[in-house]
Amino acid sequence: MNGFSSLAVVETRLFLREKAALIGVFGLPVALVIGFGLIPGFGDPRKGLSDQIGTEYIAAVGVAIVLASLGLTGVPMVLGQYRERGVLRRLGVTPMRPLTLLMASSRPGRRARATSGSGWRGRSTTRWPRA
Amino acid sequence: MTAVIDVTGLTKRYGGQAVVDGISFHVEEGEIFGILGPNGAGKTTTVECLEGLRKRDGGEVRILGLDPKTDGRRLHQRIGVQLQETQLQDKLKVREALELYASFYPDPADWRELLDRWGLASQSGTSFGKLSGGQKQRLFIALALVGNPEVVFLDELTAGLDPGARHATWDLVRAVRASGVTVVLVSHFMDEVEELCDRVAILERGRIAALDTPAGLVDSVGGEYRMRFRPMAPLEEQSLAGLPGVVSVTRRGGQVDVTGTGDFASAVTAELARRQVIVADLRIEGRSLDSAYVALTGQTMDT
Repeated sequence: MNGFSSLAVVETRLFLREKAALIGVFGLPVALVIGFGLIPGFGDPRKGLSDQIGTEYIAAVGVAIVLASLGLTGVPMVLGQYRERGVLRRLGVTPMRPLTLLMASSRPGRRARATSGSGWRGRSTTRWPRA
Repeated sequence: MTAVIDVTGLTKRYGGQAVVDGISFHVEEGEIFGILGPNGAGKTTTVECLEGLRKRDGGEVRILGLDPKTDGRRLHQRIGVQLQETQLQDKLKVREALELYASFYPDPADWRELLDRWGLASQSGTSFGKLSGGQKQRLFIALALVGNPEVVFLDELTAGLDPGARHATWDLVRAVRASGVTVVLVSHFMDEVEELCDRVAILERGRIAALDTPAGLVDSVGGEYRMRFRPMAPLEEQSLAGLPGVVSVTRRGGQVDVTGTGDFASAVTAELARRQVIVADLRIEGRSLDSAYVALTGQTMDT
């Protein structure tokens, strides 16, 4: 394995070992979808949501939360910790490029998008809300 | 012997103040070179400039013919580094760490072999956060060696290790050198430097205060050694006083104290043997690198 793929595998593993992060990232959106899905009448198409049903709309919000929490808080927090603990310095004296680390640590994000997308693609015509 | 590391006039300033002030030295192939000095003397800054972690402000540095400032990546393929005060990710397992770092190098060492050699085999599935201080330190040394480096930088190698682990680590450093690797050792432990290093540079306020073999440094400071023993047969003190190098001979009860310089101890023992005087409780107290350091820098170690 080259540096990038082994680092990506390790970063993904480390991410999956963080129970709290997993709950925050995946648990919250799933709870949202289930919670809103149980509201009576939420399954009917609505004009205000461009004829989407409410659950679809919330599912889209859920995906956005997963991506945002990973990308906007997860990766910066991890990189911040790496800097604080000297992990970045240690990696800095290996032949690996700093950019490789950045790309490898954003990989759980791509993974999350793939899993969450397939999980919720219940209906054949998913329309994203227009702004 | 060729110079593996060549440093000329290395300078590094922080906010206009020179932390490393024009130091020059070279390290030869297969050598264990020590950098010794009090906290804040510029030891770590110096090695960080060599490792390519910091950009020097002046001077020339060549390691294996490469300039760390411009050729960092090519250099990093050929050197191994153990940094002071770094941590790994707490949930990273020992095996994963070694495997990961091995994957960065073009021609890595067998990390399983390193696990065995550094006594980490039974910890291979343990997370970094659960390792003891000594195990962490051994892991960092193993990580420094995982790329099959030609030069290894070890910064505060035995910090946080218990005495048994320190001696074991010294043996392993000797083994590393025996395999042909050049070692640069940063330390503020005298005994470690005296035990391991072929040559030592003593750094003080960013300059090299002295550079020699440990024994050479001790000798350069000079001073007297003291030899004590209890003769088992009558002995005339005067017979020893005239020997080369002997400064004084005093008798306290049954014990004889001889002070002297240079190789006086062998002259005294030869004289005793010639007179067929058997002695008991023979003790020689010499100056150690510790006292040489204090004499050279005019200060005590700040640990």
